[in-house]
Amino acid sequence: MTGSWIKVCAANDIDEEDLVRFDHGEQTFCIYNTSKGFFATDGMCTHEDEHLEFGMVIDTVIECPRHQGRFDIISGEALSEPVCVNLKTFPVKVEDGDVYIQLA
Amino acid sequence: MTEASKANPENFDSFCGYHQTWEGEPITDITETGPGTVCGDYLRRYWHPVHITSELGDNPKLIKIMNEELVLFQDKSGQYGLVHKKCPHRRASLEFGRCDDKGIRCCYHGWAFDVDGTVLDIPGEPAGSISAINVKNKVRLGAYPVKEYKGLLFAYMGPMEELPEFPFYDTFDIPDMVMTPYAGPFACNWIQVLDAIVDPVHTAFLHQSQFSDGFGEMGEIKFYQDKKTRFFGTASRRVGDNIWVRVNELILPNFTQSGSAFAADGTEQRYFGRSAFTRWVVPVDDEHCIAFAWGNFGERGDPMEYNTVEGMQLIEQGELFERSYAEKQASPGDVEAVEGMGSISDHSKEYLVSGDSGISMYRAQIKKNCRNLQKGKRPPQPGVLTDGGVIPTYGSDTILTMPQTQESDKELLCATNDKVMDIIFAGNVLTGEARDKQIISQLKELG
Repeated sequence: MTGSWIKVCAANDIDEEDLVRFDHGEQTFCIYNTSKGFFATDGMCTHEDEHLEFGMVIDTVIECPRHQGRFDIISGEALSEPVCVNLKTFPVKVEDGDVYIQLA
Repeated sequence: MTEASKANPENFDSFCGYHQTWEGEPITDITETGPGTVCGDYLRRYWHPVHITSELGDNPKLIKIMNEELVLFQDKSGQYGLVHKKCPHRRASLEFGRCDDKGIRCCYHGWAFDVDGTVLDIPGEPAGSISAINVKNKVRLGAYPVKEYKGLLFAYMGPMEELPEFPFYDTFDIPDMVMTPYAGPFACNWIQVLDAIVDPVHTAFLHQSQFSDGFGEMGEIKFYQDKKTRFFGTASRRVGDNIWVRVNELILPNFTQSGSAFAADGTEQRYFGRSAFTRWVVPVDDEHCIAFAWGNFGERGDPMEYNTVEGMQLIEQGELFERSYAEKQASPGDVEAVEGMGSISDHSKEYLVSGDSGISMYRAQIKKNCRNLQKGKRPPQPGVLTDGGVIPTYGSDTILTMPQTQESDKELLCATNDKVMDIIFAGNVLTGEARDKQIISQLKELG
């Protein structure tokens, strides 16, 4: 069963090679604008209690601001020390200039 | 050393010194500020204080800012100049030149330059010589605009087509506040000094006995940000029946304010008391920086008795600058803490924790702003924090009478912190005295 699509923001609210934080209910996410398109992941780093909101987007990689652990934005894969648990990803679509996230 | 050696599990065994001898790396993206560096380009898009006005005499003075050797002077008509060190003729240093009625004159062959770098005079060249015409048309001494304000000389060292408005903060002009310029030199990289402003844990630990007993209370720590341009580290502390909310703020790239140093100790109520200092951390080179500031004295600032050279050293770092090694060990201040890291810290060997969130947030944002500038995107000026005109700031102390009601105080401390911040944020729709009045009256309703 697939979840509903929830509007996040206008696509041009997110700079290219950057992200915005999106809070929905109890959950928090990061929505990215990359050279390969828009993507969404969990907001919190899987290593320690740090939001990725202030992380650096480098191409399609997000770097946590606290310990510089890196994740692949598209797959959520943990790429470098000290992170070792993958980041959860969520489907994203852009329609009429707005970005939507699909929650399970 | 390699990533592999960092990841080596032997590094984390007991007595693992042998495995930890590899050298760490600084975050060069933000530590290097010389001409042409990524962060140097970023910092050159802002106004920075470069000298205390009263400490500039009649002669030109050699200074260094962001790894550039520069000559600062005031000509006899009163204009300030900040120019490249070397004369564009034969490269003599203009620090040995003299201040003219208009501009500066080189000691070697007497070439004279206006404060904007224009060549005014070339002694020895016959009038109408092709060389003289060419020089006046094509040769310029590198120069930067300078602005004097309340005893500090500010300069803008970026491209003139990007010259930003001089940012005017509310604390530049608080009625009855006495503002005294000071300069605190540090023999280390600017980031090491800047970090401390968004680090409320160090305030309680390093400075636990330097200001008041209340200062040593860790309290509840929280971090906020505003438009990714302003970062706060706040501490909500219990002192007897009172709660003391101290707000430290950083406005990118290097403007800092906090609460007072000596006006508050938590035992008496205080409503939106303002910062001990209005301060910028300015790189000299990659291994030195200077904290240029005004110490703020009066009803809303620190007590007038601290308006002395020694008083402002205490405000800047909790201790006097010139001390014996034994004194430094007995009661270290910020200088000892940050210079002890080495002239440029090896950041890759740091391990930041949740109390360092302010540091990780602002460093990452500077890195982002630097990269965006490389991609052609202008970094945001402090002016984004206001709809126009004076920029409201937050560095402050508020002490409310709110006795502990439950065994665990944490909830009340956190809630009070949020309430105080909400009130200060909401005051942003107003400016100047009207804003202060609203904030203070709303805070008084809390306790």
